Amino acid sequence: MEVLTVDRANLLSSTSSSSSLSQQEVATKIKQTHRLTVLLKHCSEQLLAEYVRHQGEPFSSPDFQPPAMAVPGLPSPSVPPEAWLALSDGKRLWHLAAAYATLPGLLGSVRRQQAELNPLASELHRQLEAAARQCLGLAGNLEGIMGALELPGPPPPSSSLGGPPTSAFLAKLTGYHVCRLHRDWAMRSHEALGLLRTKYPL
Amino acid sequence: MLLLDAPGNTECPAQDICDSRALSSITRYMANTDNPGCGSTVLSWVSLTGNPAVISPQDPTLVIGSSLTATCSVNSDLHLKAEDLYWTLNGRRLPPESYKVLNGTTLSVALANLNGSRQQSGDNLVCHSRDGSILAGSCLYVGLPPEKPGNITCWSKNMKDLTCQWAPGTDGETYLHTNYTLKYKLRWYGRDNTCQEYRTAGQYSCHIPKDLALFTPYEIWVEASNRLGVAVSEVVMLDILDVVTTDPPADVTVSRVGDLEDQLSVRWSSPPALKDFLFQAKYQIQYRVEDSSEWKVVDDVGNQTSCRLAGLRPGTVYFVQVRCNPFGIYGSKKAGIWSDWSNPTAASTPRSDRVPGVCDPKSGEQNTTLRRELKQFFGWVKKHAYGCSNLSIKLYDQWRVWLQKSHKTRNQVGATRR
Repeated sequence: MEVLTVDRANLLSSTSSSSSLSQQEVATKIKQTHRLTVLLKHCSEQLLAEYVRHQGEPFSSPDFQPPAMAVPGLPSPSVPPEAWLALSDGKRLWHLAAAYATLPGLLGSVRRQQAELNPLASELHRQLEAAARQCLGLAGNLEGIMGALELPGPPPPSSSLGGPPTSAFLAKLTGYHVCRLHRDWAMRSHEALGLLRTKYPL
Repeated sequence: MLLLDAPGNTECPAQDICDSRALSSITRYMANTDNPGCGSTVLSWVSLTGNPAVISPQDPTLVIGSSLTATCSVNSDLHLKAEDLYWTLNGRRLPPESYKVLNGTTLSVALANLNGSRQQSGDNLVCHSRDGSILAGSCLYVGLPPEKPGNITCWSKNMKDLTCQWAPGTDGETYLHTNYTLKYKLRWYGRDNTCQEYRTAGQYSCHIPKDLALFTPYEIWVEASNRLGVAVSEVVMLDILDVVTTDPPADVTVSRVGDLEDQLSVRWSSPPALKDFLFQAKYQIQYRVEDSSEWKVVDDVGNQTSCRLAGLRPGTVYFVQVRCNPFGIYGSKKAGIWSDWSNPTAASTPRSDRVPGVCDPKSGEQNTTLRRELKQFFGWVKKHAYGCSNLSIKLYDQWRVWLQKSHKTRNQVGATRR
């Protein structure tokens, strides 16, 4: 009978080497991701402007105040700006990873809604698709960085996003919120990656 | 500012609480304008029961000029009175004279003589509380039913496909999104087919790429539909072979005809697809001078692939284009549809070297000319003739020959050397 011996030492080293990139590689990845957030920041602003343009007033007016609608009892999982900067890098990345895990799906839903509400707004559809792809890219990058820095990631988002909106106005409103949040998170991620870059310079 | 969160949630809670509850259940989104940094990481669509108010009707479709009465009913939990509410349409406040309090929590508004919707996604009719915050909304779709599309024209590129264009009824403005569907069927078979590739040749066009039969008539029509109704165009009947066109001729070259100042020679090759089919081609040429917009057309080119343009102006740049008509398809005497013109090719006619008038000195000038010539001659003799013994008329003739040769190269004429 043949006995297969497993080289335990090799196994250990291979698993640890796959998750630990060199300092240089981590810094490069952070720099790349930071550049992606610059793109996201720019594109998300454009997307919000393009979105409100097609929904009509009051969405497109500069002093538009969206209503705060909520199912009472559940807190918002987000963090106010001052507290955000006081968080550790790990916590910040965690929040970002959670956000970008769900944004692609939400942007996809908005695109489907806008295909019905504004069928001829091809530029808007294109930007919504691009935004979803960019968020997916950022989610992947964040996963890579967190893996390299051996930081824990958030649990995967639940697949159920509820049914589609029951009215056109609600669809416009929800789409607005998604685009706004997309922009807000882009700003947050740009900030966070900027801070991370100073800590991991090339 | 009216906050509709559950009590205690007027600012974003501490982060530890967030970690444990965050993402475990996903049923809420919030945009809190007091804390702009607060955004939910997960969103969901809000159910109607969670709304602060409800507008009825939701998303109505109306004909231009009609009237509408809408109601806004606030959720009794909010402790708002109907008198505290107001309406806006596309951001513009509606006059209070049009409001009516129906009961403690319901306010109605009467809209009359509605204009066409300002945007295709619907006009935004919104119910606000006194401080301006939005309680509910409804999208109005005001427009006209579609008119019959018309002017259907089709062409087939090289007998393989069919592209059709049409015009929407009137000027096409229905204020509502209008969908156009091009349909076709073989005249003698029952099944309707729907064209799939739209906007290939302008906004109102469709392209059928394959599976088209020849020598058989097709029935083609366009259906227009929007929220207010449907309109169907007249049926157009055609055989693919009647509407064949080709690409423009390729490799158009324009060149001079030797030194001829008033002619240019045009050559081209027949479009490659033509050689597959049993038809000939006839061609047309058009040309113009560089700084004119008037084209001259040469019509009787027949089916050669070259032509000579004559009667042109010397020393002028011309632009030339050629187009093709597939003629005599499968032996028929019928013409097809003219192709587009080829890209313009430029060429210039030669300019003659002779400058008229300079060679013929006026009689009065002859003496001065002769004298000047002689002076030049003696100067030349001094240089080139050693001694006067060889001075003769022959030498003078030799000099004249030499002068002519040097004038030719320097493009100078006569004895007017300075």
